[in-house]
Amino acid sequence: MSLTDFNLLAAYAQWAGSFFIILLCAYNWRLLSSDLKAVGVYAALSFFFQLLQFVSFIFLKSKFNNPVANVYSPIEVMSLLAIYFFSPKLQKYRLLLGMVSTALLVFLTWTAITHTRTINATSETVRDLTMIVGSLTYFLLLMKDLSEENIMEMPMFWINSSILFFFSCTFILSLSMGYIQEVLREDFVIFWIFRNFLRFGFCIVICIGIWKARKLTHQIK
Amino acid sequence: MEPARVDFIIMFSIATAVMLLLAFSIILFVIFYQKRILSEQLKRQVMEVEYQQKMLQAALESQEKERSRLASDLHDSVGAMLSTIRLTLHPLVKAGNGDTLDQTKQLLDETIETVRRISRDLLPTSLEKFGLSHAIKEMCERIQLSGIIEVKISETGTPIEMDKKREVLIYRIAQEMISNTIRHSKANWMHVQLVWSDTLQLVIQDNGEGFAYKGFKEKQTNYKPGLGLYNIETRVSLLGANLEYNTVFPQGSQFTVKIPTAA
Repeated sequence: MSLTDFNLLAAYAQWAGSFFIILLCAYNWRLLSSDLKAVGVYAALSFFFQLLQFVSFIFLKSKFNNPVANVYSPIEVMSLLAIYFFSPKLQKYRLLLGMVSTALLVFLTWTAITHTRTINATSETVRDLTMIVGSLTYFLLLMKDLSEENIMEMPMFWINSSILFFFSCTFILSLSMGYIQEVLREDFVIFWIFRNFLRFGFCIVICIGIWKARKLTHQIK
Repeated sequence: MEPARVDFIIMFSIATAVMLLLAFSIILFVIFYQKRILSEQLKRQVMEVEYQQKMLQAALESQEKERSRLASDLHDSVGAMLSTIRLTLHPLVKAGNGDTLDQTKQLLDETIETVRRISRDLLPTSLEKFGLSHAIKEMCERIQLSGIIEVKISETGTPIEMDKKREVLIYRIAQEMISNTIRHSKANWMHVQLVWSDTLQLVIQDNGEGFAYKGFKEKQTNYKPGLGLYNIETRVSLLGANLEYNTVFPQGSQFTVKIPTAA
């Protein structure tokens, strides 16, 4: 198997991961709470932008791959923050979350407009950092107001864990994105394969969370 | 590969591994933190339940002691005095001093019998001497003889000797249930069963009008603190037993108490 094959496999795997989330969310849409519906929306947006990148890769010789990624970056942050915005645990902090989201949207849109050709390391790093802080805050609030049910049965525990896990792992990659693109040109694909396989794992853990929500709703019924 | 590239890849791998480890540690910490907090909460709840049980046990024990004291006083003082009066009255009755004395003697006999009955109910001496089965049988026979209600008693299995405190609790449950049946069920027969195996099953069945157990309990809780069922349930909980109630209106009702024989 060549490196290109691995790259394609990793890209398809992460694409399939988003598709699994969409399928699960669509199938259980009525049973899902608003925060879990936001996960479904995030997966749908991610799937759509991956489709655009796929079209760019196959038909336009990857000409628009980086601009698509740069446009997607602020949209990804907003859709992920929406999960926390709709979470009942963070209801008290909605105003703060709204303000942070607006500031981030302005900043990320500005960086996306000014740096379209190469993947922007700053916006990627800010995105990762935002999501790490968001997931840590969620865990802190979860520990502050612990419920008696098993934490492993809570859908948002799995989703938040996957967010923390994935964005912690890609943080170093985002931070050194500029260096990798400029200095390790040919090796960039290796890092990207690693990132895509990680994202596949991230999607699978989210699927477990959605599955738990389905089980929980059935138990309540 | 150039050394700078190798260095970068090593640095990248280490940094990513550290981040991964950190994330993993945080997730594990959250899981274990919740488990620890929940186990502490559980421990506290268990301690509270144990404390309440001990308080209840102490209350019931003091009730039993008071009953015992009262029974002794009734039997030894009032009973003895009444018997003396009866003996004093005997020569007068024999001398034939009229109907009034006869009636007085009859009334005195009844009073002596009532005092004995109250004393027996307060302190079941047969429980102490012959054990639970015998005491319950004796209680049933007494009720049968009184003619208030037809009582059938049956026993299967080999009786197991239990701790005296547990036997007193079981006896009081049976006493309360039988008393409830007589007072409220409008039944004309009842069947008391003792089934001995790993557990003791005390089944009390009657052909009365039955009642809605849940509704009755709620009514008791909302309007008046009903002592009967409360006492039964308290003792059942102290025994670590299980209380079941079935009613088939208008055929009657059935109470089943499953009691572990070991404390």
